[in-house]
Amino acid sequence: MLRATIATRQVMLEGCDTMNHADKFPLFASDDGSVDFHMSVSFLDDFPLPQGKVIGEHKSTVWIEAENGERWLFHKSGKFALSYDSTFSENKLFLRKGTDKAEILQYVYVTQCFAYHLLSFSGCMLHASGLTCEGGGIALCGASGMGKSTLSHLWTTADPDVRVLCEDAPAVTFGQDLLLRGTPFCGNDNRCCNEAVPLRAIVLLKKGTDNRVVVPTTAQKFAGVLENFSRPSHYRPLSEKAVDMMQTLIQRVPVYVFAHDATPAALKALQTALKADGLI
Amino acid sequence: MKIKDGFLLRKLADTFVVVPVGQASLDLRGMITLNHSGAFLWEHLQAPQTKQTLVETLLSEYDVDEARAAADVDRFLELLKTNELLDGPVE
Repeated sequence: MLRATIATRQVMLEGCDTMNHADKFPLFASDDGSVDFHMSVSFLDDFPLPQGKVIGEHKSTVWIEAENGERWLFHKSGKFALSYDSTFSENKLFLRKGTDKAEILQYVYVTQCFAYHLLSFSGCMLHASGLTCEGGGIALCGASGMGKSTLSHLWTTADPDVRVLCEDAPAVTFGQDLLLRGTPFCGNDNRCCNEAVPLRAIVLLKKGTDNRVVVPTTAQKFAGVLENFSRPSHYRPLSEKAVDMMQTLIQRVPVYVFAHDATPAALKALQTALKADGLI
Repeated sequence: MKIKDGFLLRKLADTFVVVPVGQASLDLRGMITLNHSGAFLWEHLQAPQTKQTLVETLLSEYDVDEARAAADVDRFLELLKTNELLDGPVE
């Protein structure tokens, strides 16, 4: 069993010892006895599917609302199924015994369910490399391959005072301050730390050669954050809440677009631009 | 005809965006940007409309002639139809 405090939520994971980065959870270990988010993982020869109404379907995934109000996600291959409640507080992942990539499936669904749980409680997760720099947080957002890890490696190598909060899915909590928080969900890179700092900027990364930081239009800011914001595709109340949070984020935090070539010169250009705006 | 279910209209500074939620977000990745008149028509299309009612609504809000209003409505409906955002036939 893993117990941790992540982005102020008390987390209990059962059966997730083989999950990617389970070894990072001790950095966030805490146990005050309460549980806000619970995920159990079971490996079974077979697992029950509820009777209920199909409420959505997309490619290999079916969403079912059971007669008892539970919601289910079912993969048509029969390899796994997930049950969850309306706030993603109580979640059960069922994996068929012998399913390949079980560790990755656990990581994906624990991360996703936790992200959706945070939405219910004034928080969110970004697809980003979250860094803490001079007491403030910078979120380098972008799809895989846009250079998040490369830039964060360059930055932390150049300046040992800069630390990686989380290399894949840092959290943001909304209050008087927007705080960028480390989580143990660190993707392929395996770097994270248990700290929270005021979020100073969001940088939307793209591949490019000119290493230029620009301020996009409001619509472009929103579109960029939308691409990197974890939100449930098949649960409308939380999906709507996510839209409200994205709107708040871009209103309160500077957002930039950075087309870069992932070199030390790119890092210098980014640092110069953020310094000029007083953000680092 | 009316806008399909599953889209939220939001005003951001001086622009309007439409964001798919729920099942719609699986069918449409990303979002739609609208100008002021587009957002105006979008809001009215939350309830069933005909082309004629939209033209009349546009004329009541904007200082344009009927031919221009009709052309704008046609163009907007065509865009919605092409992107499969409308429920019901265009009439």
